[in-house]
Amino acid sequence: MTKEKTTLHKRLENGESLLIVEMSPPKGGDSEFVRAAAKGFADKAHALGVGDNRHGVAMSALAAASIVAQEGIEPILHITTRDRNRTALVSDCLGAAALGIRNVLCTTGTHQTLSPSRSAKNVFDIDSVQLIQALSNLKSAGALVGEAGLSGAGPYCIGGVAAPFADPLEMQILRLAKKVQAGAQFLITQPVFDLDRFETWWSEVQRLELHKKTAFIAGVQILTSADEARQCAESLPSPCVPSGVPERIASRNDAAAQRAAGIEIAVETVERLKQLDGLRGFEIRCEGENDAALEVIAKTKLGIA
Amino acid sequence: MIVADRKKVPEIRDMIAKHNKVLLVGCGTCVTVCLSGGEREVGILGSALRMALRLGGRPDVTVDECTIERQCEDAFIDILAQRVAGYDAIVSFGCGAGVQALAERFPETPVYPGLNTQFIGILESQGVWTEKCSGCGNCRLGEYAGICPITRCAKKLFNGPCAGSRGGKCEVNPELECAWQLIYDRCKALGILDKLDAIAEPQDWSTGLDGGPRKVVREDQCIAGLGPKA
Repeated sequence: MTKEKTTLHKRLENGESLLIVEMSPPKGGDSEFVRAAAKGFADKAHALGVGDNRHGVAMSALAAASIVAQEGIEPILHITTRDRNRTALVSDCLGAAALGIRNVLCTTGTHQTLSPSRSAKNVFDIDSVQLIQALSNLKSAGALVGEAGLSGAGPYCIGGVAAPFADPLEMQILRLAKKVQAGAQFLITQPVFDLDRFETWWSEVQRLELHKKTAFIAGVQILTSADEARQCAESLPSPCVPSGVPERIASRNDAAAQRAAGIEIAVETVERLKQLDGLRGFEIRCEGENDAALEVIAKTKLGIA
Repeated sequence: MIVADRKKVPEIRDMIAKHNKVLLVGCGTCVTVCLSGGEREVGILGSALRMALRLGGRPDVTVDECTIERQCEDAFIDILAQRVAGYDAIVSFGCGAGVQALAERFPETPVYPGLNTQFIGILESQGVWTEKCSGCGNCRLGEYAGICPITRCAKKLFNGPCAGSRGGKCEVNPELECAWQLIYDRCKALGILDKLDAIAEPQDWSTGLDGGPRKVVREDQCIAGLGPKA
């Protein structure tokens, strides 16, 4: 089995910039949706993030990431601590390695009561900081699940989520510092809409020089219709969409014009974030609107080709 | 205390549909204090249940009430023994432990729950109780300035707030306080924020219900020669 680091891993270590696209696997078992996304972004982005049951039940992220890996782009497997105990988490990561997937983004996950799976039992055995720590060292991952040691996996390229819009700021920064200390090699922010708040948060990250210890990737979500913008603004936990953003999209008369407005906003967000020192790249989230993501990538000249 | 909530009368009426002589048993401890299963509540429920049975065409069903000091101790349950013999069902207004203690003590009499047991908690304000303890068997309150992240954080986070904490509230419910905001505020006020710097170890859940139903044995309190009750 290969022990070579992933392309994402090598780019991170070399201090190179990154473009990631994020997809949510379909609510169904059809692999074509996943293949189409992977093919579409294969020469355009460095990696394709694969969400883990973000909006209720969807195709297994591990299965979808495995399909992505067959289509010429590196997947980043998202794995939430909400749905699996430490045994299943580590086991899935070992399975991922066996399938050639070694970019893993460790996240807690939105609470299940905010999804259609409201009645489900949650797990939350370990938290995302502890999962990052476990995967950083497979010997300790072994200890975590009571095993003497786990071999034949890794090295993993381990990521986490950063929450610029959550409170309290000082504790959020401390949690970030713990993710860095635990071994996170990259941290992807939640989608940025409120740039003022983001800049306040970013100055704290810089003050503590966390960005010098790990790569921060800014998340940018494209809202392609007035309905999507409204739903996003009203969703929980609040993505902190400033007033004016949904209104700007809704002010356009037809679907094509609304989509164009959403793309404009995403492009403007990327351009403003590019002005900040120390960010290492972008993650574009498009919720199935792959062409919109490609358009934003082209307009912002973020593409790798 | 153990906090419980009252079941609705129709649910209790339907549970006893096959019985003709029913004893409602209140408990004088936790559920009396949280106003769900004490003498007063059992009296009110008994009247409502008799009315529901009359309206439902079963006026002949006998529903009587009594309350004992504690349903979770045999010494108090024994007081019921003679009386229970005259009934063909019991509805317990104790917590889930009380229901099971009565069922164990009276193996030939069906026992039904009159309450929905909720949690270990406190009286927050008049008429409002909140959950504070999960009984995990491995208390870490000392690490978190006296605020339990297992019970009061909806995601049981040990290393800081999730991305859903907004303005002191939890993503799960805008009325729910974020435990990590509370931990932060209290640590800051006490000047002990540095307690939170280190990465917290994963919890050993085997000391809790995940390790199977638990038993506490105090050998020094067991009666010599008899050992702990099996």
